[in-house]
Amino acid sequence: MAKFEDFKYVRTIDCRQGAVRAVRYNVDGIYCLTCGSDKKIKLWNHKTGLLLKTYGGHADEVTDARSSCESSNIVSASLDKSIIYWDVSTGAPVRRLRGHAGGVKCVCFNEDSSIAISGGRDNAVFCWDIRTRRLEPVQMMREAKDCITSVLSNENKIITSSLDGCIRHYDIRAGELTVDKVGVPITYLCMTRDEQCLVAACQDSVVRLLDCESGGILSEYRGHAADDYQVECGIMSNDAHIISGSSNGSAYVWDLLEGKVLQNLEISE
Amino acid sequence: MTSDVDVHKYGTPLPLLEFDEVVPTKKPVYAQDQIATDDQGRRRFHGAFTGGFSAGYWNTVGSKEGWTPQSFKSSRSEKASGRVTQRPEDFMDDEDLGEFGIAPKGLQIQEDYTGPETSKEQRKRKFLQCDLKAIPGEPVLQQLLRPVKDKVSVRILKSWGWRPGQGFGPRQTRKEKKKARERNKKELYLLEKYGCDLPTNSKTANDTDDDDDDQDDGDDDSEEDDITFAPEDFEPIPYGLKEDRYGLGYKPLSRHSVLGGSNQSSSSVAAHKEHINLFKPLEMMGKNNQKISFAGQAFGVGALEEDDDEDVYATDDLTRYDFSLEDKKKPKKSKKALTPDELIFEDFHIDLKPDKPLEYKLEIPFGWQPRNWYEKRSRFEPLDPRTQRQLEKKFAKPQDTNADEGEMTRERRAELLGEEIKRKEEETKGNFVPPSVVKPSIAELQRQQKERQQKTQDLMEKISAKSSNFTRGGIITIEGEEKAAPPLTAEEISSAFKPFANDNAKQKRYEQFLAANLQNDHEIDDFLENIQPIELSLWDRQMEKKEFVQAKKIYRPLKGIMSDRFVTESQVKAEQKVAEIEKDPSKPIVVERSKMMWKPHSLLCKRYNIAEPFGGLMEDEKKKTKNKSKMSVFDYLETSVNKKEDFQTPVIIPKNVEKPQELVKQQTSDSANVTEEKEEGTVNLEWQDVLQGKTKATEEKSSFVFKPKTDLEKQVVESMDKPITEKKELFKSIFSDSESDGEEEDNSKPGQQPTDILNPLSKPLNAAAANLLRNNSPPRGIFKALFNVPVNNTTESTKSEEEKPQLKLNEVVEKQNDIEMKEPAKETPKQIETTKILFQPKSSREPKENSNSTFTSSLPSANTTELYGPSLPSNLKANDNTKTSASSSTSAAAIDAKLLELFNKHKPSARLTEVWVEKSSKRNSSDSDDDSSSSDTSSSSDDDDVKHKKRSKKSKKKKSSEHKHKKHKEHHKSSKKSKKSDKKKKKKHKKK
Repeated sequence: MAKFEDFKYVRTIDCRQGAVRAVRYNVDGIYCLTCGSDKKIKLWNHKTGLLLKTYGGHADEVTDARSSCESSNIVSASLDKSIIYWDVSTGAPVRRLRGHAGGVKCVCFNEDSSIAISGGRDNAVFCWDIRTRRLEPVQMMREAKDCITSVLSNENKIITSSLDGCIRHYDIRAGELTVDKVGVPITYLCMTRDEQCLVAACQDSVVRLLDCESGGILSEYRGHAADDYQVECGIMSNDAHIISGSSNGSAYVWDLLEGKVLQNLEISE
Repeated sequence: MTSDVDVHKYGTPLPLLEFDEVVPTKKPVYAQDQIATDDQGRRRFHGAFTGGFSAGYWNTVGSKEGWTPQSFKSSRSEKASGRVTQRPEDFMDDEDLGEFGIAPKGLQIQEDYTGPETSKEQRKRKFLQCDLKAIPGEPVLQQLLRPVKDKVSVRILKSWGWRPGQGFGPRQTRKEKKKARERNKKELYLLEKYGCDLPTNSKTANDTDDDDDDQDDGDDDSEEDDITFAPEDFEPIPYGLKEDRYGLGYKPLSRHSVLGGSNQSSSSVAAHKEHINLFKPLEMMGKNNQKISFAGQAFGVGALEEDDDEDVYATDDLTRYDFSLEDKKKPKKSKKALTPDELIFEDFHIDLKPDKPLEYKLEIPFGWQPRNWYEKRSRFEPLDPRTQRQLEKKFAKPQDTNADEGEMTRERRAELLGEEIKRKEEETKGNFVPPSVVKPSIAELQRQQKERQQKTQDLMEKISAKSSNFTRGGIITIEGEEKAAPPLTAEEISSAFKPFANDNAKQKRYEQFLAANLQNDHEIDDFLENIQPIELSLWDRQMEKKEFVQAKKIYRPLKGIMSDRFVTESQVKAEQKVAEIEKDPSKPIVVERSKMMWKPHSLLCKRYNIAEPFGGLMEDEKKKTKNKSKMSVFDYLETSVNKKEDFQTPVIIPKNVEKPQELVKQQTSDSANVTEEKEEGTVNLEWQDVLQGKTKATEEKSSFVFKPKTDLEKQVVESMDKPITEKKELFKSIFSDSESDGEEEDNSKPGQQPTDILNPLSKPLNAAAANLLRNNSPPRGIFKALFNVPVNNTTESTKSEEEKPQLKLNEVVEKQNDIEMKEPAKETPKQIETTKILFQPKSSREPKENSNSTFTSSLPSANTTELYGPSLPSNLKANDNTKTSASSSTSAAAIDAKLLELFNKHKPSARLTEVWVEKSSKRNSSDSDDDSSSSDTSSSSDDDDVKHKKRSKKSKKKKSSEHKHKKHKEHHKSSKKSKKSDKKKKKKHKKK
């Protein structure tokens, strides 16, 4: 069990992007991407606070962005119903993929960044082949009954969470869809390193640890407030601590096993 | 008389008429005959006043070619530069830009134009005192920086009528002006000349001036003096400080050498060496040994001097100099100036005793504050105190005289509403303690809520009951009695609303009255009499008393009822939160897991580097949708049943096998033979549909043992069999040699027909559940003939019934086999454990067929209940029992081996079929035999039962035919197999 060291404040980066919708590290964590409500994505060196590049081309707020495994491309989702595949160095949009009937809320790459998976407000999850110039999605998954809040993918699964309270595992290898109905709208989903568990931020101000195999709830983490915000959660790389945002502007860190709050990070008012 | 020269001509003169020329008779051109033309003489017939408002090209657009829209081009590589600027002129014609057009392009004088001197260069006065400064010329900074606006002084002057270029002072007559000019000139002259030089040409210059003046004077003589002019603008003469003792304006040569260095006159050596030093006073020895020295710049006239005309030898006219400070011209001027007498009209005279000089004393209004009105001011700046006061006065309410009553704060409102000041406490607490801690307990809240509800309910009742006398103004308590208000405390009184706030004395009395809390009318009278001032009239007293009594009733601090009715927001929120929290623990979240089939796209699999599940044989959603998109007549026939989603394959509930998690089945829907389709075309399809529907309908009603109860069911069953019989009839009619012959023919040629037609029946039967929409009424018209069952066919039908189970079984098994069919069939039934998908060798069905064919007739046995769906015929059961119950695996294996042989004979190749996904999550993996058999039994039992009944009704005829039929069926099976294999091939081809 890794010993928990309190998070310390290091730096504030003023993005000047209006509301920042998402912040994502790249693969090796050297850079980070911020998605602003000013329709732009900014690439930062978070260690120095240096703005490296701004990617503009979306027509509405950018909701999510991910960088590819070799950090040469970015895929971003926006409320303008499109996702854009960017070239990092030139800053030019390589491909703009339209297909969602509503704003796109989340996007991710598969492991080798050959497929982009996006989920949107139109309750659909689309898989886009970005290796080819095809502009239609490779696959559409329309099982969800409500807005898709996050998508994940590992080497053989696509996992989506939706506001209809379900987590859907699309197992490509087995060709089956497993629906775990939690019953509470899920605002964010992330996976543990060992891919055994899912951490789901629920609308009822509880972060739940779910078992991938059985679908059962392993643990619940309380103390923060989700309210009506789309609060994200995460798990530390050592799989020992869970962190989640809170609507009161702070972040909470829990111990994964014991479920007690280890730290309350006051981030903003 | 004025000469022609004096007349100013305006316009072009008419040509002079010759006397002998005949004056052309002028016909007046009437208005209707007048033509409006434009500059080019083109006719324009509209625009009445300016001679034509021409519109484009002959009143169309633009030019002869028409109007061409401006092109806008912007590509990704070449972006259009900015916005295309279009001016209104682009859309105008030439005439519009002319003098009379709507947008004249001519030069116009601006409003505030006054003259050439308004130009910026001229606006500032030039100063002459350049030489007084170190750097000559106009200061550079002043040249660079020019004020945008005129100075205030200039603006004021302008508003007084001054124009740039004019001088200041009273207006002058011409003469005065001339003199002033002269004088100024002289001064200037003196300044310029005598500042450095001797006045040489002053006289001549003056003379010329005088000549001009004389001329002017001659002109002026005729004019009167009352025309006054603005005085000329003279350059102010700069005066420098006098630092030396030379004469006025005299500037000696500088003693310093131009070339620098020290050249002192005292050093004689140096002097000898030097040439004549021009800058030294030239010393000459005069006649009388006098030393004459000349010094100054005035010495000599250079050849290069510009002024050649200068009279070098002219002596300076001393008249130019004023020898005293008295002004010679003054008397003249004063003469010219109008005396006061002249100014006075006849009837007026000067007041010889003027009043003491007027003292101008401005009375500045109190509180007046100077303000520069040119300075812009934000309206958000604080008002100046006076206006603020005025505004306050204006908007102040009369009752607001009491300071504490003036503003209604939240606390005050809360007080008035009788609300405890909870809010503050909560606010203070809320920051540190989570709200859940602060909240009152749920039980308490609930109790309060109940009480409140109770109260309001009661109150409503009472109010409605008392509505007649509700206006009395008393307080209805919760008890319902309108009891006198309780006496108010002093604090309450002070905090209560003050109805007589505008009259302090009255208010005080009122407060006293309240404090006394008198009930009795008489007492009130007495009390008021004591406190009321004497000067109040009796009527006033009475009025006041009434007012007080009224006010007391009306204005009471809100307590009791009102406080019950209103709830603070914080309370409400607290309740909500309690409710939320309460909800949570009561319903612990249990994750429900469900699984279903999902087909990933092949490309997706490729990208994920994963082999497609089931070799890509899963049902494709896209295909489904594609199929749906095609409209066909049969879409109407297959209502809800034939959609794959609606199919529910039979759910097997075996006794000995534990329930698996999921049941996935792959089944074929290819009941229709290709040949059959070819023969019968679309009609056949219809037939299948109909048959399916019927069987399904019947199946739905039957629980385990099928017993047709209603006529409809019977009909349905009959109708199922008809095709065969009908076919037979048909063939008979065609080849009507004899019965036996006909049947032979039947067997030989369309041997597979009956089974073909029965094939649809062998589809999963409970899929028919929903097919109630189908028209089950007995056939009419043409179809009646088709559906009529000849009596002698019953036996045949019974046989077919018996065989049906097998067929169905086959079908189901086949479906399950489909995937495996690709590979060579294996002896043992293959099962995939994890995926729980059934794979059964085709051989498994063979033995049953064979064995079944040997059985003649049977009744459903009791042990059918073991199985799901309609029961098997007893003979089959028996067979099953012997096989499965005793040692299902071994015996089945043995039979399988046999069947495999058979199968291999007939099986040319594997075939592809569609995949069926079962919706229900239950799935049987282990008992493929049971599964198939049960599905068989379901259909077979149906048929059996029906047929049994029929048999009982009708005499058993045509045993031979029955026999034949059996044979025929066997035959058919083999042929069917071959056909199926054909089909498989075809499908494979299609897929490829």
